[in-house]
Amino acid sequence: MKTEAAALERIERRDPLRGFGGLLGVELRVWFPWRVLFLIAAGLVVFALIYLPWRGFEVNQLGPLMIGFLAFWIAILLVSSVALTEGAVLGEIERGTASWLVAMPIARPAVILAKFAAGAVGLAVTVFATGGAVYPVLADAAKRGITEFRAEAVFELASQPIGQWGAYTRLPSWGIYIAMLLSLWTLLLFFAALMMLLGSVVRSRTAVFGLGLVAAGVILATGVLVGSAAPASPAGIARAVIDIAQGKEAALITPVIGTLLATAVALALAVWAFNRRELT
Amino acid sequence: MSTAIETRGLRKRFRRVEALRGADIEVPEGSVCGFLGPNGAGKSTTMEILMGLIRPSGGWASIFGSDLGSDGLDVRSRIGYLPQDASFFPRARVRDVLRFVARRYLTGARSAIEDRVDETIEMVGLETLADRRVKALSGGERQRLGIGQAVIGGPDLLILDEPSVGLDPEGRRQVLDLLERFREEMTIFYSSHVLDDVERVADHIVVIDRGVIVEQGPMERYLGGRVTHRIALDGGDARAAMERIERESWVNGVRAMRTGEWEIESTDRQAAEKNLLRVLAVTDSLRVVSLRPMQRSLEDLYVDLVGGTNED
Repeated sequence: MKTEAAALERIERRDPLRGFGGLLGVELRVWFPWRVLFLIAAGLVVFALIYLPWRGFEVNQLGPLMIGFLAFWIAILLVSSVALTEGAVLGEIERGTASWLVAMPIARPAVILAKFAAGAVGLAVTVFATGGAVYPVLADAAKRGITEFRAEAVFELASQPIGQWGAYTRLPSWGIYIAMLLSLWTLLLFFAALMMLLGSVVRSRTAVFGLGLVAAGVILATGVLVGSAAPASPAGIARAVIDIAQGKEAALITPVIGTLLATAVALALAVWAFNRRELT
Repeated sequence: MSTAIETRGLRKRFRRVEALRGADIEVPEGSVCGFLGPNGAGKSTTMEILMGLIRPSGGWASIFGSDLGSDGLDVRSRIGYLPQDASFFPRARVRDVLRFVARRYLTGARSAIEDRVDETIEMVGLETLADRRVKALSGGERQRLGIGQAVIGGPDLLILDEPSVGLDPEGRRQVLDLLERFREEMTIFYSSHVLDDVERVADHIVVIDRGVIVEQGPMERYLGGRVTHRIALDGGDARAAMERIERESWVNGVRAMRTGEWEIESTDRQAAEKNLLRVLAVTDSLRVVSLRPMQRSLEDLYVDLVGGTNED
């Protein structure tokens, strides 16, 4: 090699997460822009499909609108997360990319954590962009009854103190709405960690996909449809979000803490399993 | 001479299949070592253990004297690796892949990294394809990228698993030229089924069969001294003449060919050339029609060692 020896030096550090930064950049390019745009578009399409039929009603229908949107949106996000991440680990193992990566001076935990972190960023942008875009329409609907969406409502809201926004019928305040979106994001983080774990343990992508769908189904069934989910569980977040949409009091702290703990455990197990996995 | 790769009693079992059965390997530092063996002999398994991709069921392996388990990151910082059926980021461009790999091994100014990337692209002959996506490369182009990414970090040891597999003759030649070029800078350990290629480039060989190392050492030990003469005789008792020759100390074996010729394998080329005709000349009415020395090839050695087990 002609490059002057002094210009480049071999990296000698023994960093337990060596390679994380470089891999995060690669993984972010997997999510941005198309994957995230697809998820945002899917959310907005679902909202439009729920919102448009209600436009003709003169009475306030914010509750059913929010419940309908959130239930379908959670379902779309969970299923999309499963579909988009089922091959994140196992697909790379099957293609041989994983063995190529870990044959370099890259710490194995960095591979899993970079994928998780990129997914976390992509899902955060998805949830807050979609949720942020939908909120003004919800606010307009809450103020006037759902007759038609007027863009001016956004500016009307912006000109008023945030504290007064709650006065609109059953519209969650910005604070609660953001907390709700954060909780939803936490639920998706759990799913991302779960898919990492499944990909590190299971040897068939079909099985990973199937198990992911089963987990999504359980959360939707117990959290959204039946409402019997344990509070301190990921399904408890779905339940709490639907409760908020119904204008009920809902404690988000317990399900969020429970879900974050479950996410940490799933992620730790994923790292442990990937560390032990033979990459042939 | 110090050792680049050393394994002792290396074993690997995949459920019911014992892929490695106590492999002892020594690859001297600075050598170009060809790793030979039939399909399923354990070549890729050995390399995967060396790269830390799989764990041995028994025995141990070290690279530059470092343990693969506890010093894994440090060891891999000194190794460039090309796996069989290598897969890089399929949507990335050639330049992006090389830049990514370079940054895993090297630190320095951005411009120095870019210079190294450009040098590597030029070295492996991918100048016109630098901005092409990996998934759009042909097999040969991808293999050249594979070699480029293996050497871009300036490794002390290059481990290549079948670097010329699937390549056309021109592609194979290019790969061999690259190996020739790197031999002064690094130890090279590469597996191959193409014996002519190994013979051309390697100065050291390791032969594995059914998970056991059956031979290893410098190439000259196997090919340097030995020579085979092919001789055609006319008249007289050729068989009796050959029996006399077979009793000579410098003769390793005599074989009758279907063509009517005889093949005499000698352990000492000089002794053979000095004495062969003298021994033959004492027989009555025996005429030597032709006599030609034939250098023993790696293929002869390989066939002797692993017999007909090669499926290729």
